[in-house]
Amino acid sequence: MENQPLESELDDAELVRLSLADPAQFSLIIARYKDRLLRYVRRLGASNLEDAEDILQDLFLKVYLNLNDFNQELKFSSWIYRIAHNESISHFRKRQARPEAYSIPLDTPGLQLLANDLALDRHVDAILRDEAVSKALMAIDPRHREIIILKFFEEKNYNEISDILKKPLGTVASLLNRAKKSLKETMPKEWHENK
Amino acid sequence: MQVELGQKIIDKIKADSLSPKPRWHFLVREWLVWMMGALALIVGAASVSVMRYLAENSSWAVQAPYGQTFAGWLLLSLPYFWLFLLGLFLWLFYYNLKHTKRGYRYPMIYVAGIALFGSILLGLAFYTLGVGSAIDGVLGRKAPLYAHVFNPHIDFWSAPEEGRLAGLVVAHVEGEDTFRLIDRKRGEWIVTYNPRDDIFVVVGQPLRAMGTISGEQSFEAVRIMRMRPGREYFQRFGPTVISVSGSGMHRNK
Repeated sequence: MENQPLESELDDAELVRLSLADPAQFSLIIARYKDRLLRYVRRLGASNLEDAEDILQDLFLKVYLNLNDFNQELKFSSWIYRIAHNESISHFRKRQARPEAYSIPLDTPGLQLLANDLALDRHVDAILRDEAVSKALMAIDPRHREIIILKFFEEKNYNEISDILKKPLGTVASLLNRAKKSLKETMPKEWHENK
Repeated sequence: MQVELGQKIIDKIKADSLSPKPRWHFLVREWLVWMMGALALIVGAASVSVMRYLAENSSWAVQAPYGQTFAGWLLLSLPYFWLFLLGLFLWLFYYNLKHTKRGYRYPMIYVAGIALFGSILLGLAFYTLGVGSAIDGVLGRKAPLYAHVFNPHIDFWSAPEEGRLAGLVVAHVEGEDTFRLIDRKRGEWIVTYNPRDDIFVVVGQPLRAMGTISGEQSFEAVRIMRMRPGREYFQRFGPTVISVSGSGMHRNK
């Protein structure tokens, strides 16, 4: 309890140092990241909350065991997102489960951002448009979906995406372009602003 | 639920007495990846040094008179095994570099370029230090299928009916323009040559001769050249130790 007011003042590297000294302090890292990572894991396609929590538990244990591998040249959030990404993919692979299409919680700001970037017709009903974008997102290649989720829903910049997916910046840029192109091609043609 | 999750993780850490892997574990792993990468680069460079060494036996200018096109000569002369080995170890270098902590940040084209130019530069340095010659020597003495796999030029130079003869000089009389040579099929030849090429005729050493068959197991050479790559390989066919005196040739078992 005494740590509560301090938590927001400490940076991630400091939390790592504290966790290495005392395992109980690791709860501060969990508290800081659990909501974001739970959302991210679900967006990647964890079919239900229970599954997502299983992944979250495994990934936090992995983070704890590998705390000494955290490289301070990297943002801690990029490092923990990388582990979350890898853990989710390996979980889907182990279960031989495809990420489930309609379980993904995609929030409106992210969908709006994406729709604007894709230059979709602004006169289309927002609810219809968001539904169509969500559906299209599930129809595209998983690698394309992953990068769109990071960019538009997790709001990561290119450097962070590069560190999370372990890909060079140039590859991130071209992958994102291809992902947007593929997503746009999946949308109804009459919704394209520049038809 | 989320409070429970955090507590559950801390409880599990405590119950299973889990502790973070030590820093040295990651340092050793990173060091191993770098070492594997460096090793891959060294093996790739060794391949380059052998290829450069093998090129000493390969010249289109020499082979063109046999009616060979440049493309044909290239196809025949390419050291496929060494190229394959170089490709394999370039890929291993690339793979290891990409798996270092920061390796993923470098574009593939840069890493591949560094691997290729690094191997070539290091390989040429190895060549000048005699690494290519040493590797060829060891393989020439021991390796099965040497002439087919490691040194494709041996086959090209083992076609006396087409005017190319390679083998080990087993006897030579000073002042005479003939010597005896054993080819890779252990056939013995009497070779007549121009004394201008005397410098290349050394008993116990292999050579290459261009010319024509002049009789049964006789060859008239118009040009004689050293055979450096494959030198050790031809030692396999020397059945005797040769001593030469001014009065004649003697073979000692």
